[in-house]
Amino acid sequence: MLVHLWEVIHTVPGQEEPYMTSVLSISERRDYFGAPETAPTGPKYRGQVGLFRTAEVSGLWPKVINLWGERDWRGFVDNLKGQFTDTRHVAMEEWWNRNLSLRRGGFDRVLLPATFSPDTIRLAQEGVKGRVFLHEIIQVPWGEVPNYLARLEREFLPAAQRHDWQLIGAYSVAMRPREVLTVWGMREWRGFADLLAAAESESDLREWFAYRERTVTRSEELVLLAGRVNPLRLAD
Amino acid sequence: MAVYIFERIDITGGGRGKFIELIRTSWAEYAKNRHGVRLAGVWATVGSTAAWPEADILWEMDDWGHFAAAQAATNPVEDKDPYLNEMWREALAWRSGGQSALLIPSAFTPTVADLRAAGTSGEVVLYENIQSRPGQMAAYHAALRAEQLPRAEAKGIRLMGAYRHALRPNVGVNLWLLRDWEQCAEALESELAFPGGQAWLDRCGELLEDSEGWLLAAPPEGLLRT
Repeated sequence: MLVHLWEVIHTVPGQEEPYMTSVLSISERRDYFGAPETAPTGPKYRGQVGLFRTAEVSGLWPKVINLWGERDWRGFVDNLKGQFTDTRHVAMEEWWNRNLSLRRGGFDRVLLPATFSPDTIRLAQEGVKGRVFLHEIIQVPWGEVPNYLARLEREFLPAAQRHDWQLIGAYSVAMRPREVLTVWGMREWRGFADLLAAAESESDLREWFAYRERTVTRSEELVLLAGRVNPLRLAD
Repeated sequence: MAVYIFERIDITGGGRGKFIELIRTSWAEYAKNRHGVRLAGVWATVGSTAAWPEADILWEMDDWGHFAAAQAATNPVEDKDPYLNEMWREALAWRSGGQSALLIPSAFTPTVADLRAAGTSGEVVLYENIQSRPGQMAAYHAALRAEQLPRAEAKGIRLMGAYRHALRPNVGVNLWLLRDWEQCAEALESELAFPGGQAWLDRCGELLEDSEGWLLAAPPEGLLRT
């Protein structure tokens, strides 16, 4: 089973870009100082779906979101084990202590990708990029997560794509059976705005948002910008 | 239809006065002249009624197209807008972060221009965070307009805006203008448990999951008090 590590980082204000570059150095170091066969051959700054920082548009700020690339559950648990046994990861410890000036803490989740959620290979192959991203965590009633994801794919995804919203990921959350996390990317701010402007005039959007109003019990949004080291970033 | 962003700002230490002055002066003027974004209001949260120290800002844009153009012109700020970036850096001395809400006004919410034309203003604002029952925000706004608005106006309380969140289902914000502190004391004394009184409380019980209210106030201009 493939999982993603997701993190919201409470950065020291103004240190969002330095933090993202710094945290990426961990995987970069591993890639370039490991055995020759582990040297990277794929896209730059791999290991992430994307690192993002908040725009002051909607949601809490300043935050960084780290959405790491898919890995298998066993490998994920081995990494956790290394943090809590006698095996020390000296480089990680040193990085942690060296960068206390960049962040004050955070909160993590383990994400389970929906069947229709694109993986990092597909995102790269399809050239998915954006200037603005909408990140959302919603809570639905017990047992509703599979239905919410199914309706997201069937009802909202086509309408979203019509307005230049690209799905970066749709996930359920391990050990949190009522949560769904989604990330959407838009090549232009206009696309972000146009869908919201059409929310009541286009029938499929109207029905989707009405379903959400009936169903979603809690919702947290973040409007995000891709970090400079994020392969999803569409720069000028 | 206008689009709004309401920001609650976490103030650092004693910086609230300086932060509000920065917004009131250079930031608001620049946002309007460069991007057409209008400052609808800047206040301090009255600490005895909610979080402190905290500042609050309401920005107004013409419509979704204006919103998109303004965001495209200012994000990422370091790349797009050096002067705004510098003000952002200046503000770091006084704020640690905040929470923004992208808001859509109800049909009966006046614009900044409407309020100015009517001479409507207030030294004190009653802020309400609204969570409606599922799918009931439209019904809540209809009831607010038909039932509570006339009662409020009869007490001299003016609606600055009733908004719903553009991204969060069933979430809204209300802003009510109180002329001055005297009117605040008089208008709210009998309704401290729930602004609007028992009848409105009962009605809201049919439509809302929760409601939280607190007061905002604008410090006098040019006086850098915290």
